[in-house]
Amino acid sequence: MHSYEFSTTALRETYRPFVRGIAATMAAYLAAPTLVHPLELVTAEACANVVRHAYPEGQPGPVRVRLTVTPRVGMELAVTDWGRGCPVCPLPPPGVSGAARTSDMPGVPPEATSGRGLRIIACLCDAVTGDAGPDGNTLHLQLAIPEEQWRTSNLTITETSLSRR
Amino acid sequence: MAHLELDDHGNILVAALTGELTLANATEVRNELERLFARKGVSDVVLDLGAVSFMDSSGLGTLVAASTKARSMGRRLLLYRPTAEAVHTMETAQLTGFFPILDDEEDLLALLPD
Repeated sequence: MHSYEFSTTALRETYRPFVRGIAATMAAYLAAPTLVHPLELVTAEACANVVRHAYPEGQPGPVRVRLTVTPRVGMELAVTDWGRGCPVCPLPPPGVSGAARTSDMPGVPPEATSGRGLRIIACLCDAVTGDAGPDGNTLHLQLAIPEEQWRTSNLTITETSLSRR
Repeated sequence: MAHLELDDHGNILVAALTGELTLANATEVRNELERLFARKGVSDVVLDLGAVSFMDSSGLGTLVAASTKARSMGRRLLLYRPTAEAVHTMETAQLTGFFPILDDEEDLLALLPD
């Protein structure tokens, strides 16, 4: 298991370069660059929610993403803000695996200009949960990745380095 | 500022967007599209997404808003050659079929006046 931590100020101007950096880290584990797209999309949606909703207008605060990679199994993202969370998109309660199945979510009319971010996240993730407290508001996203989508050479290097410890 | 490269075909404008379409530039793109639809004599705006490397739900929301506004004026927003990733984002957001899509140059040429 490999863990990474990324932080930035949640701004429209900063969140895309921030997410691209996280996506590059994720892509290094995958067999082809295009496989990172759903992972980058859920990361971007989660961070965009923080930019849009967590902090009052004109008073941006931090966003932190913790990425945990379990090679040949999947990746987990924990996206944290220290603002008011996302009042218009309440998080599913902790410990309810798969709570955000798209079938459980209210529909978004085709003409709606917002409200699709969490639906995209729920659709692409295997489990979505949230918790809020003094340590911040955290959205936990779990994504299983089929074995054939992992980069073989990277895993070989990782296993070699682990066996030397 | 979003950069739209324009190709004027009379009542049809082909506008090529490069880079990304996300929360970072969604408002600017929406404003530019609305300016294009406000041009006299324009019936269709064809947005070329062939060089758009990434699109998220905010980008999609801007296209929905521009398309809805265009329809209210009796005009159309068409999407031209969206990437596989952009199509996947639209499918995930359950917006397949919302926009008229031109898959390739043949589709575009069939739309443009001779």
